[in-house]
Amino acid sequence: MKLLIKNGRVIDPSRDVDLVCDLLLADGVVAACEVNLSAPEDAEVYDAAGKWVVPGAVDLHVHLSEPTRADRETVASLSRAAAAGGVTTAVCRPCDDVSLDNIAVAEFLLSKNRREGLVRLKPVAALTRGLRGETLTDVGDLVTGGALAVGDDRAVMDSQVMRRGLEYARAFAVPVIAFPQDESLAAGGVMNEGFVSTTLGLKGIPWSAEEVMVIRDIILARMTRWRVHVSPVTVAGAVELIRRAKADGIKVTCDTSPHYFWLTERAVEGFNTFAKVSPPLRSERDVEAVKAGLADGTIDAVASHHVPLSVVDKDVEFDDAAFGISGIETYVAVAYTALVAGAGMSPADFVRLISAGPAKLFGLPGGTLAVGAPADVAVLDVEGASVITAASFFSRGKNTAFDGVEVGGKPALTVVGGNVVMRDGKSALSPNPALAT
Amino acid sequence: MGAEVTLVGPSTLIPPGVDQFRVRVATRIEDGIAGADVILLSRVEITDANRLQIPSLREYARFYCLTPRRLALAADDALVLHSGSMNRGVEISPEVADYAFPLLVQQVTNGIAVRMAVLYLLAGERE
Repeated sequence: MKLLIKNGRVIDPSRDVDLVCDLLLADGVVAACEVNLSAPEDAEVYDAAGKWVVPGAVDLHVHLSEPTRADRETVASLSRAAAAGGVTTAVCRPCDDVSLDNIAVAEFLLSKNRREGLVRLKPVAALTRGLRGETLTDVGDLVTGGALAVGDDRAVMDSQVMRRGLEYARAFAVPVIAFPQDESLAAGGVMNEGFVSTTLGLKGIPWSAEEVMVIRDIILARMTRWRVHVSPVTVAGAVELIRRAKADGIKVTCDTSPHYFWLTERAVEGFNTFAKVSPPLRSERDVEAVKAGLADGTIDAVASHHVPLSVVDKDVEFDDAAFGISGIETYVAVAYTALVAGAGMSPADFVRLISAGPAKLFGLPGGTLAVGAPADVAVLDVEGASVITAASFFSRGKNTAFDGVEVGGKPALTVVGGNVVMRDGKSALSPNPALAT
Repeated sequence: MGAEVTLVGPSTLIPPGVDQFRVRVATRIEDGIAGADVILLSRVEITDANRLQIPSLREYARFYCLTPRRLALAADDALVLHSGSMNRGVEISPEVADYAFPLLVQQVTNGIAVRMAVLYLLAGERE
């Protein structure tokens, strides 16, 4: 199938392109990107006038719960939500429901996505068995099975385990993803520690819980000469530690998520469980530091940190509520609104954070509109405004902290492997044949 | 003694600074044994001391077991030796173990004589 996206503003930082022109997609790849392309006879034409045409978002941080929890996110529901959010590659991480510590689980998810998916799905495997932080998983086995990185998505508290994990992963050339939260400092905490937690009478998680782990993991990256990817970064001190480590040539990269640069801990006031997330929402000062880190390239990527939960997980007392925000459907628009519309970030820098940057970090498909690259494209409506409505999410997780918020930059079209998987907010109903091969 | 030595194993088992012995280090067995005249294997098992360094014996075997296919990368008629007490299917495949067996018997026999000589020297070598 051929698709000609006409008159959009094509923003492709991988080639320093920012130009109103036409983009022709054919046979699953980018066929041409020029001014005034004439449509081949068999091509469908999409008018993108006034919109941005960008490489699809590469989301480094999503969770799903298939096959363990029937009431939570499945491969199919995640895929429809991703398509609605302008995401063309979703990277799923281990969690309690799906520990991804053996090759059978990784291959199940990949085969399920081939049969039911709309967007590309790539797994991160666990670093330790059962996410217990004690012994390493069969990292080599998992990498040959398709895992692009290893990491437990929770802190590996034993430094020797982390050190050995880095050494072992180095031989298989995959980065280790580190979750920066010291469990002993964070124990029992449900929100950021400070005046707001005191006012609400809730137990806090201090900023130091993050900085302690970030500095330890920077030291281990230096010792093992291997890549640590910190995910997510939420406090000012951690941004600064990573900035300095990068300047010293240490192999450390990081990402963050829109709720860490749009919302503060005050979103929790009123005991709003939809603002309960791990790591917790931080202070105004941290929000500004995260934005500065995004602006100067210290932070390499913006990910959704999509944790889809059911109503029973959230409609309970604050202490008992589960951590997490459902974000894959909204994070591109939220990030656009906060960074480009709100903070004057350049379009190229924004696209780098949501697409080119994360694709490059992990060697993922997408992130570029170079001729011959996979036809993974998102069209963003940057002129219109829309209101986020949790009830209409494709995701099974309606647990957003952004319900009712007006945003710009909403994805109007998502294309994966040359096939349209979302148009005007409607996700495709049948699986994407481009994924079957 | 003039030999060019390559140490092969997962990076977690490579001792720090070992390259200062003028030993080449490889983390892929295919890289390490290419063209080798002699391959000396070590018994691999998981103990309390190394449980953080080897994820599992299955994983170790997948990436480091000396199989006929990997042995074919070494020099023709390469000698396969073993430090003793083979773990078949871990560091050495059953096929390679059977192939190497006659030489290993000789290695073990020689080992007895060498140990006896060492003990004799250490004991003071008096008539």
